[in-house]
Amino acid sequence: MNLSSGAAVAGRSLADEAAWQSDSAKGRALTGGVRAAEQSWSFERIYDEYKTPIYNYVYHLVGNREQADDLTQDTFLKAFKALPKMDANLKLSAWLYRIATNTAYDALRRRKLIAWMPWQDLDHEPADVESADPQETIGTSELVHAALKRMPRHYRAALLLYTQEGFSYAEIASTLNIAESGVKMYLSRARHSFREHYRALEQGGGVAR
Amino acid sequence: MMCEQAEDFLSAYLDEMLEPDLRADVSAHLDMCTECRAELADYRRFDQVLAAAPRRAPSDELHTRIFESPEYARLLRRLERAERGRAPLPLFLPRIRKAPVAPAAQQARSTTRHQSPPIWRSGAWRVAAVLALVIGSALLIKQGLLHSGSTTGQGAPRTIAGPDGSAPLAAGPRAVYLHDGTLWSVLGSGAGLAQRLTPASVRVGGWAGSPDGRLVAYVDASSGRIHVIRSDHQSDQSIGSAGGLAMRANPAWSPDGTHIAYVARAAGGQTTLRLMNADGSNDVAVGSLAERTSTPVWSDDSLRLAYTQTSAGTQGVWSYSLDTKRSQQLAVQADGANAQAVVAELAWLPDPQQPGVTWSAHDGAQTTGIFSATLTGSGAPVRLTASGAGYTAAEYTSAHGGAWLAASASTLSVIPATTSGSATSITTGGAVRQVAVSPDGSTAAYVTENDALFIWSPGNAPYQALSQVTGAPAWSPDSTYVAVQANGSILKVAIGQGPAARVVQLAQGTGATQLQWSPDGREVAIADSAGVTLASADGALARLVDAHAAESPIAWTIAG
Repeated sequence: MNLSSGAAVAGRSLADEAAWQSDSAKGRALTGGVRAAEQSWSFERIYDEYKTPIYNYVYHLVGNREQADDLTQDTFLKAFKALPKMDANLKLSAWLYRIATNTAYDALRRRKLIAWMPWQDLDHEPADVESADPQETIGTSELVHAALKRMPRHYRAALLLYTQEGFSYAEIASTLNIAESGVKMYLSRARHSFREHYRALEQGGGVAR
Repeated sequence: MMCEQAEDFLSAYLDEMLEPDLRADVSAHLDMCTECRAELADYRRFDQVLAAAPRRAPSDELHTRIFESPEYARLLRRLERAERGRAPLPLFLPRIRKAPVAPAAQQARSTTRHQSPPIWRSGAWRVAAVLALVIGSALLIKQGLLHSGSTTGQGAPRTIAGPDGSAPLAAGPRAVYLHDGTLWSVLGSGAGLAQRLTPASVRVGGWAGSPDGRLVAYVDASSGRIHVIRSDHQSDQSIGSAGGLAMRANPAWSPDGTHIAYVARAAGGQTTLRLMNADGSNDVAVGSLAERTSTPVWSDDSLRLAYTQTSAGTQGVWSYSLDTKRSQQLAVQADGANAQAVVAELAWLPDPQQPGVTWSAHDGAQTTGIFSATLTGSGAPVRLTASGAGYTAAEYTSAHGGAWLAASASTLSVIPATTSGSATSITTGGAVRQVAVSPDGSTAAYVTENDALFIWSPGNAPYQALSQVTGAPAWSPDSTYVAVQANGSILKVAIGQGPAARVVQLAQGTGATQLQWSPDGREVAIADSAGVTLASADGALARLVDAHAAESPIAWTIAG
C-alpha cells in the first residue's frame, strides 16, 4: 500500500492534471494567507504568480483584451499600494480577486453598461477569439467566450471564480462581498444562464467571428 | 417537488451545498425527471468546459507598464521612506534593489506591526475569527489537549499550531495535510495538535509522502524547487528545481523509494515530465513538451511510468521505461470515440511479464469507457466496455489480475482489465453514485443515488448496511471495516457480518470531505470545512486537531 501518497489515490491523474492546470494562482491551495513575519514578498513575485489568473479573470469579465490589459495594470498597482497596510493574515488570492472584480465593475460602470444597457448589446463588438494556444480548437473556446459575454456580470463573476479559479462558496462570498446564500443563488442563475446561451450559440445562435 | 422548484436547487445539489432533507427531495425528483437530470448533466459538462478553457495570459509589455510606471516609482519612494522610519512600517516589503532587507530588520518591523492594532482594518469578521480561535484554544487547554508552549505567540491567531522548533516531531504514525502553504503533521495517537512539518520560509505546492512514510517530497511554490524532508520535521533539503514558480503538481515516488518523478515547467509555458534519483541526482527530462502533463503513476516494480499529456486539446496516454529510457505513446486520445473525455484513473496492470496500463475516461458527466493497452501489443488501446455505454462510477483494483468495478444504472459490473476474461454483473439496489473496492480486492462498498450503502463480495448477494449516507466510503487497511458519513455522524461498519453488522460512531459531523485510515487501522483522519479531526477507530475519542480546513488530501506518514 502506498500509505502516504500526496494524491488521494495513486493514479488519479485527472485530479492531478487539473491541479497542474490550475497551477499559477488559482485553486484552494492559493487562498492561503501570506505571513509577512515569515517572508518578505516581492511585488514582482506577486505579479509573476498572479498575472495570468487575474488577467484571464478580468478578460472574461470585460470581454476584450485591451481593456483587460489596462484593468490588470490598475488592479496590481492598487494592490501594491494597499498591501503594506494590510493585516498579516490577509488572504492574498481572494483579496486580489476582489480588487480585480471591483476594478472591472467600475470600468463597466463607466461604460454605462450597468443597469440600463444589457451586456448582450456588446455582441456587436468584434469577439476576441485570440487563443492562448493557436492550435486549440477555436470552436469551444469561442462558444465559451460568447456565452460568458451574454451573461449578467455578477453571475459571470461567480461562475468564473467557481469553475476557473476553484474558489469555495465562502471565498466567492468574500470576493464579491455578498452572503454565502447569495453565492448559491448567483451560481444557480449563472449556470442556468450559461447553459441557455451556450446551447443557443451551439445551435447556430450566431457567434461573431 | 416540481421541476420549477427543483431547477432552483440543481446547482447547489451539484455542489453538495443543500441541507440533507432538501437534497433528498431533489434526489427523488431527479430519479423520475429526465429533463432535470439532463440539466444537471449539462451543468456538470459546462463546469468542465469552463475549467478546461484556455487561460488568457497578459502580454510581456504589461510587466513594463506596471513596474516602470510613475505610480510604481512613487510607491517605491514612499516605501523607502517608510523603511527609514518616517512613515508607518509596512508588513509587505518589496525587494527594493539597492536596500535588501535584513532578516533581523524584518523581524523588528513585524513585531512593531503586531503591537499596533491591525485588527480593525480587516473588518469585524476577523475579530470574530480571532475570538473564536482564542475561545476554542481555551477550551482545548481546559481539556488538556493543547501542549504548553505550542502556541505561536506574538499575537498571531494561529494559536492551535504546534511549535516550529528544531526538535523532531514525536515518533509514530502522523497524518499530514496542506493548508496556508504549509504542511501540517499530527500524531495519530495521544493528545497533540497539528504541528508545522515544513519550514516557515517555504510555500508548499504539490507534495507526496515516500512509500515507507519516512520522507515527504514537496515543491516550494515560491522558488519552484523540490525539497525532501523527514516525516519528523528534520533534515529539510532542497534537491532540485521544478523549473519555475507555483508548481502545484504532486511529485511521485517510485514504490521502491529510489526515484522521484515530477511535472516541471519548460520553455514557452509548456510542461514536461522529469525523473531524478531521490537524492536529486541524475535529474533528466523523460517526456516531450505538452500544455499539460499529469502526475505519473509508477508500475509496482518501479521500472516504468504511465502519464498523460495534453496538446492541442487532446490528451494522450504515455509510458516511459527506466530500462530503455524511452517513452511510448499508448493512446492518442483518452477515449477514441469521445474527444471531450479525459483520463480519470490510470493504473498499471499487475502482470510484470506483460506490462500494460488500464484507464477510465470521463467526460465531466460520466465515465465514457474503460481501456487497456499493452506495451508490447499492436499499439492500439482496447476498449473494455461497450461502445456508447456510460458509467456513473468506476474503480480499479489490482486484485484478481486487475479488474474494474463499473456501475451503470442499477447494474454493477466486474470487468477484467485484460481482454482474456469476461465481465460479471449484479443488480444493485439503485443507481450507484460511488464505489470503493477493499484493499484486498475481496469486497466492494457502494453508495446508491438514494444514499444507501451496500456491501458486496462476489458469490454473495449485496446487502444494505446503512442508509442516509453522504460522501464516499473508506476501507480500513485490513479490509474489515468501512468508514462512512451517514446521518450527521462518521460511522464504522464491520464487514462480513451481514445486514446486522455492528456500527460504531467515530465522530459527529456533516460535510466531511475526506476519511483516511491510518496504516495501522487505529485512527481515522476526518477533514471537513471546520478543520481536521482524528478519531480513534474504536470510537472512544475524537479530537479536533486543527481548526483550519485541509487543502489537500490527508496522507499518513511515519515519524521516528
